[in-house]
Amino acid sequence: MFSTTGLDESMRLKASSKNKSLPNFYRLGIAAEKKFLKEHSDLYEGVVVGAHFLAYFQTSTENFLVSLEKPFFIDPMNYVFARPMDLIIRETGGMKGTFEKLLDLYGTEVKNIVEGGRSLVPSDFKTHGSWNTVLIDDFSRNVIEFQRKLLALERITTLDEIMKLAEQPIKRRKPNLLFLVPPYFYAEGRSDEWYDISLKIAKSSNQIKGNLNLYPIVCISKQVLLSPEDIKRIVDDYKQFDGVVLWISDLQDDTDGRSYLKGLVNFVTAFKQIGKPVYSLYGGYFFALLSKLGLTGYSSSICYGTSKHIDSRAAGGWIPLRYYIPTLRIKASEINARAYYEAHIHELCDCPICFEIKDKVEREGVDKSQASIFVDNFFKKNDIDSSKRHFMESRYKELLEIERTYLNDLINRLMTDYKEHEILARDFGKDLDPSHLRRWAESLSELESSHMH
Amino acid sequence: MVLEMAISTVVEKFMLEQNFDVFRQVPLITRRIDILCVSRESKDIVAIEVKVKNWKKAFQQAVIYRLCADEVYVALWHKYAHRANLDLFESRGIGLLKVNNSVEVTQPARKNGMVQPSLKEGVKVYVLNNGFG
Repeated sequence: MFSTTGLDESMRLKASSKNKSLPNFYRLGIAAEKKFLKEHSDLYEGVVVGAHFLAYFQTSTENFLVSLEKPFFIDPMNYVFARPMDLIIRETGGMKGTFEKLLDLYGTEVKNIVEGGRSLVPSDFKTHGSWNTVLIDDFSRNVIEFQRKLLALERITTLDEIMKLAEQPIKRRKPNLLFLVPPYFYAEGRSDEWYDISLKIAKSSNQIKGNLNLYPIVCISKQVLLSPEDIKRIVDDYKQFDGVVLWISDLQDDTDGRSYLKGLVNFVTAFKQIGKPVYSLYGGYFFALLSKLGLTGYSSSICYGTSKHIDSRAAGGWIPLRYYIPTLRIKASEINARAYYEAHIHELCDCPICFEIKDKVEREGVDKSQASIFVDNFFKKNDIDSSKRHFMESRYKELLEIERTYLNDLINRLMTDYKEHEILARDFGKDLDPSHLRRWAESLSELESSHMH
Repeated sequence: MVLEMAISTVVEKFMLEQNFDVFRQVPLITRRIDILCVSRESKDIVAIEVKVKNWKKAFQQAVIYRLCADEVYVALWHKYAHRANLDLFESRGIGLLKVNNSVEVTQPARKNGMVQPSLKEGVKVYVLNNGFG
């Protein structure tokens, strides 16, 4: 029989944190993930749903959100209508069904422009210094109403129906909409016309939010992170709202340099200093660390989509298997993960996916040639679902560790892990280069003294 | 400027003469092996990464090929082969071929013990299904 030490630890961690608020959200990417998110709902805090996805799979997604009983928010996704048209056009021609549906819901003003064959431009919203209030108000109202009407949903399950017939009390489930998100557009910086337009629309939406909270998405280029003055002004512009969601286009925490990471830290801490909640729409492990410094929450898809460029197209269909390597805090392709674990088989984690093989390795001991067999057997059994489960378990464990550990100790661990794996860059190049661990440690260590846990 | 394609052609001819069947661009999960050779006698597999001069990149690819091949080589254009760090190649058991109009085995590869059986089987099945190169 296998020892169950690893599983016990995992369960113990879960039990001890039952009421804890994890800062991580998962973005619903494909319909099949609904079942997955339901089955492992103890491993995350909430979900993010793209409005186009909700519009297209409306009934099933509404049912999912209600029955999940977890906080969620909607990404309005309207920015795509101001980007190059090929983002919303199918490869075979014609608008993608999901965006066609969304356009129907966002009002005739926007629909007429986009169906006329062009993207939205700043002059649609502002001409010669005058705001087009008809368009702005119509757009804000439709986007907000689409989200608000989710609150009116009330679902009862089939089991509840049976209970009702048996005249037993039934539980009515209400969706847990965390906050409203107004329409937003991508801006290169504060001087970009889209910046003013997004701010104006957010203000307009704020007038109609009712008793709900409203969190605008600040969607900007990562160049903004290099300007402390711009960060200060953006925080000042957005302090009037209940909170904000950041989307720094294409910011990749595992490849971008220290200057960007420090800019991000400044952004988060500036919002924290004025007492405003701040989420990030995308993020990897560095964002999890930022929960120590004031980041309220962050999201990604399950084992993909930890960053997003504003003009990236949804991959759709087949996504190659990627495996999360906890010691490196990055996802690797299957071939790289196989190579990595062959040399580091004792670093397999204790999650329910890795535990069986790790336990066998520890009980039986392995030499170099046996490691190949063990790793091969492990990855032969591994599929997309088990990789996702492993990712969720790993992230959950990481977040608990972050919560319970002083920032200074986390920084030291990053440096230790970096030094132990430094050699990987020579053998595998950028694919398994661990230098991001050092960059993260260096970016945080300068701030550590003033933000000690 | 010599092209990888030209180097590959010379290497392919050389391996055929050494009694190997030779295949190009053989898939290994999400990667492709430039040249994969199967010994007509022992059925051992030799994987070769071809580059004109970027030995570091070639070495990094070759390290991965160890998961499916009994021996792994990097083939470089003769003018740049001296740049390769032979100690590093030796430490990982990777061989080096210097390519001009002919091929010189600058450093022989060591038989490697890192082969993952399903990956080796995968490339074997591919070459069987795709006939002779």
